[in-house]
Amino acid sequence: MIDFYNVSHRYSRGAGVYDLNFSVGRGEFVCVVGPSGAGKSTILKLIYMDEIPSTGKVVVNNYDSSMIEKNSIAYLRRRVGMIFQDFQLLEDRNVFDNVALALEVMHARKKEIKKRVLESLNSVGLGHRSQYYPQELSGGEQQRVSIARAIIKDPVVLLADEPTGNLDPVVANEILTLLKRINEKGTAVVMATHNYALIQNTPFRRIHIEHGQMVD
Amino acid sequence: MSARFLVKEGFSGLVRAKFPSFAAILSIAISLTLLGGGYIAGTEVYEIIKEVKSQFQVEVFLLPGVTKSNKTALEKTLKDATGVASYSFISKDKAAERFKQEFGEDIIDALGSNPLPESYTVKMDAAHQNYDAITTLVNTVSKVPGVDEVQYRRGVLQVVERYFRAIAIAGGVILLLVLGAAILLVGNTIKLSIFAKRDVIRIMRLVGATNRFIRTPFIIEGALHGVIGSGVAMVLLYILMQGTDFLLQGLYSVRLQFDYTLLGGVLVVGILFGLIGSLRSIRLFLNRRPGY
Repeated sequence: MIDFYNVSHRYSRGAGVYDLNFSVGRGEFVCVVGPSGAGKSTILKLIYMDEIPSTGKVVVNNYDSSMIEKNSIAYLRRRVGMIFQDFQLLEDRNVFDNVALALEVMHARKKEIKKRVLESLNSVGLGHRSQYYPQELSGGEQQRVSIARAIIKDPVVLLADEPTGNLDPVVANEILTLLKRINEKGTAVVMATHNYALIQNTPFRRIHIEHGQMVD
Repeated sequence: MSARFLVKEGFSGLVRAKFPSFAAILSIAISLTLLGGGYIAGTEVYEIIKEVKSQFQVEVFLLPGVTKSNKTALEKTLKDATGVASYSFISKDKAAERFKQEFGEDIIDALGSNPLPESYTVKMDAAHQNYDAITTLVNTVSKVPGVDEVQYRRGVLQVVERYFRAIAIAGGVILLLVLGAAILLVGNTIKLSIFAKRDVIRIMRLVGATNRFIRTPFIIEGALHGVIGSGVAMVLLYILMQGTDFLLQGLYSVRLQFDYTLLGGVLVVGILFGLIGSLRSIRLFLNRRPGY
């Protein structure tokens, strides 16, 4: 479902990733691990096509980076959920509206939006917080809101870029458990992290990245 | 298209980013007030000059003992000449009467006879109230037999024309400068107001919004900035106009008339400013890179 073919991507400032070849299958849970600056976020950006490879190609759910038109990237992103270390929530609207945004951009009906937002918030344990604003929530709760926003559109894959980077170990484990639950329902998860301790007891496949290259 | 969401986003954009919206509206209002004020000042000056010029007349004095056929020939010349709006004959008696009205003295009593010549007063139409047309007429009429002298206020006409040209050029240049400054000011303020919303744009893109979807609320918001900004400008222009009229009352006989069609122009230009400013700025954000 996600395929990297000889992918290299260089930034103008010099860093980047080199000659990546790997695949992620449907429903798989893959951890991209490596030190800070190794190129983990770049791999995720290449998957949601925020970056287009300098050479090689990335194919995600039939969207091919070497052929994709700018306008089609939006449609790819409707099939890919994303969560970040800094949550990326809009501070000026409440939890409900933050989560609803993902369906609004897909032109869903008001009634359907209401139903699915509440379902999604309930599934991350935040049904009772829908009228709160992000700044009124703890870090763990904010990350749950961003997870609710990512999974509301039933993505084929959930990309998590250091999702526990801003959270204490207990909350980090809760978020990991939530991601596992989402994965068990059939959504593939690709999680980038430098926190080896967090994933050491998990059975997930790991892709090790150092200096932009895969290492065994 | 979920029109409900997009319209709501457009309107709430005004409230969410209060300061940038206020700055955008204010910049549109100030620009339009300057442009509208410049336009009003320009048209008023033009009207005053037109009024002054319309009062110009050419006086054709006849030789003593001029024949009737001379007069007929002169009248034909005046009728055929381009630019003549009307002419009237002033007999010796009428000239004496006017003399009495103007100077309060009966010229026949004073001198024992009436030395005033017969004459014609010629008025030019609006298009020919200028130095070139009047000179042409004077040259033609002077050659008609029986004409003694043709008089007009040549010096004043030349001065008026020279100033008129200078004022028109200076006014045009100033208006163009103000327009250029207005476009820059409004463009940059709107760019700032959109920059303040870069988070919304980034997150919308992350969750799969198309460029058109992202653009629409900004277009609505831009139009709203334009409508509100031009509303403020209309009020300011009205106050400015009434104030100027009040101050000029003692000096100037013509009352200023508020031109209501100007309001339509202000609204249209205001909306265009808002729309074009938003579209140009949002394009900068949407065209950055394949992803972002």
